[in-house]
Amino acid sequence: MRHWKFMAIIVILFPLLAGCLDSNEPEQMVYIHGLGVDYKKGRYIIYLQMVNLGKLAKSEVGGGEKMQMEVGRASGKSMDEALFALYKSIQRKVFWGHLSFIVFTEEALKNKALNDTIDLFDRYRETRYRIWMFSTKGDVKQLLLSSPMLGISTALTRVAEPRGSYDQSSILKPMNMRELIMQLDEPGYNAVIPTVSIAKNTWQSNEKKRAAIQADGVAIITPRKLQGFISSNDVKGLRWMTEESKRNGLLLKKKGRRAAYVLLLSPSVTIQPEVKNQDVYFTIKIKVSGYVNEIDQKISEEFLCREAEKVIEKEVQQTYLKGLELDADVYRLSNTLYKKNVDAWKKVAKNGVIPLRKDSISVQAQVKIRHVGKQRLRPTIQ
Amino acid sequence: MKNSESITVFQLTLLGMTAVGFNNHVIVIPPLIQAAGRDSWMSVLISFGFMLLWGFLFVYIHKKTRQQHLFLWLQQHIGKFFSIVIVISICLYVVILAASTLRETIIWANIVFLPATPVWVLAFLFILLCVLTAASGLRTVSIINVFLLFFIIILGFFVATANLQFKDYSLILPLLEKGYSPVFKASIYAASGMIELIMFLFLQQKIDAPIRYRHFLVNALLLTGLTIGPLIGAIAEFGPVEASRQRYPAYEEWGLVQLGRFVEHVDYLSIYQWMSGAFIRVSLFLFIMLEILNLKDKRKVWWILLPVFAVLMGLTLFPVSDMQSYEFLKSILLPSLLLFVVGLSVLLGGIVIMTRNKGGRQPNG
Repeated sequence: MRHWKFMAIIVILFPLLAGCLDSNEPEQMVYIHGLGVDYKKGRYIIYLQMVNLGKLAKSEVGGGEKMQMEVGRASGKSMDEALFALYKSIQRKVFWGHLSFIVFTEEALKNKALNDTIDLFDRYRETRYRIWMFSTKGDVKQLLLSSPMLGISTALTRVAEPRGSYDQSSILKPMNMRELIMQLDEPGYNAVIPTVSIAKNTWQSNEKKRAAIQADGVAIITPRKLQGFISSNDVKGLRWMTEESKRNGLLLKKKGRRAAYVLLLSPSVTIQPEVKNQDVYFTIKIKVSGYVNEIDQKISEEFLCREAEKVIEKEVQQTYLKGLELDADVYRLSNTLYKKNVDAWKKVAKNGVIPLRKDSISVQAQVKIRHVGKQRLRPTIQ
Repeated sequence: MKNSESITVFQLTLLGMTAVGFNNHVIVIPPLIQAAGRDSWMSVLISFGFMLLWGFLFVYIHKKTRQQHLFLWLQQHIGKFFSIVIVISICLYVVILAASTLRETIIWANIVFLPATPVWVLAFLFILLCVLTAASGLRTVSIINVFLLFFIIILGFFVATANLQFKDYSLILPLLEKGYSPVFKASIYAASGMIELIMFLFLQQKIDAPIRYRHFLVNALLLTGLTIGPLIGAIAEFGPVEASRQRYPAYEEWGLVQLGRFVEHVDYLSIYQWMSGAFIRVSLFLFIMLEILNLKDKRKVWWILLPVFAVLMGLTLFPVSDMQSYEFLKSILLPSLLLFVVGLSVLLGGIVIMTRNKGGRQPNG
């Protein structure tokens, strides 16, 4: 009896040997690393960046041959149609699980390409939530073609792995698909997507100038439309409003001349909404501390702190006003009110958005300087 | 009732964690979030309160039936016909639970991992394994469960802590934005999962000591924790809107896990958790079905198991879309299962009270 059962199980397991229906040979697949989405005349134009996985991790060898990535282009009436048009010329099966970033052009964002793209990758089994999302005003193809400097791994460009650079200079918080979806889902219903562009004149190698990807402001988008872009000069307030921003440089001036360069670390932000009649006012308190990196004039500690506070308050106001020009709620104040006082939110919100005016916010920054580095609080050589 | 086939209350609790916990962890969470969104964790607390009350009835029945085999006890007290009706309905209940578990598991594997493997292959192998385990007795199920559960728990804590970096608990605010009624509606789902603890009554003759209220309390607490953990996790990681759009929120939490830059895509570990949970659950329910029928002739076991095998295959592969079967599960199956168990336990409680007053009908007499 026992033998019979045992044999039965063995026999049943036989067909499995020929199975492995879902097995894929890793070395025979191609891996999509990045995706660019553009839109022209009713059609999506997609750019697929493929990388050679064999060369991803070999930065210590010195990069090897030049060709590390290739970009394919196709168009279609929907995202999937464009992808299937591209499949025609892709030689192997495509694996999407390592898709690291998606860049949207202005036209694409204006035409709801974001919604289609998110639906596709949120639904598809291989792709995960951690895809970084970017917008650009420039040429998305050039962006995908620009390889990182010194032949380091293509897995480590600004767009594929933005956190490394963000930790050192926290200008714009990178945003992945999960965070983007949440910002669009939660009241306030607008999302702030970092913008990237190509810096053509910043870097140069032995023979020629080389293009590099740089952070360049933000795009603000709602589920329905693109509100607009805010350039990197006007978006500085966002870093003070983001608790994850670890390291922010700030130039301070005294009597119109540069006085010091301070580094401020991880601000803590509290936003207190207050409802008066039909209007909502927000008191924003920013506490941040840091140290001094550069001193050019003789200044006092008191001056450093007060001046830094002034600049922070100004930057936060400026970005807020730029947002208002685009009819956008850059700091997602609507969401703060929603969480803290849902009844008030329900009263004032129209279509999930609360009306904001220029004087709706007041900003109070509080800066502490912990130390001045390895030197004293005066210029090193006078 | 001590014999080689009996298990301890502790082992029973572990079985409950896997078998009933699977339901609370996996099947109940999607309808729960859909129904009450941000506030769904409150529904779980409400159903915990309900379970505390129901626990008295449970312990009362358990105590008054003196850990006898439920079928035999019923036969003694209400006669053969009615006890057969009750036992058959219990059998249907566990078979339906097993089938819904299998369907959810197999379709999930098909959607997220194995799109090219025919569903029937997965279903056939999985059900075969469960049937063989069920046929080999409670001890076997219990021992396998200890091994499987150990790693299920470790992995559970792993995914919960690895994802702490992505969790934003402020997403459960504001409380009660849509009022109380969705919260109460959703508590039906949470309760329909927890009330599966009635399984312990069907196994009572196999336990070496009576279940006390404190044991019941521990079990209810464990199940509440098992439901509320991944539930709040899903809300804090994805927000209530996205979480309610997800077909498998508990699985999606695995997709997020990332340790540094190079360790990610560890969601295959969820296959272990899900498959072993479903395996214990289905095996235990099939065993309960065999047990409650009280088959004297051990060869008859296969006369029951083979048709059940076929029924389970049929229900698992039943050709309706996943959208339709999920809708059925959400709006019909889960609420009616809750109703059934509440009805059954009230009925059993009633029989206990009545027979105590009458002193009970004697067998053959």
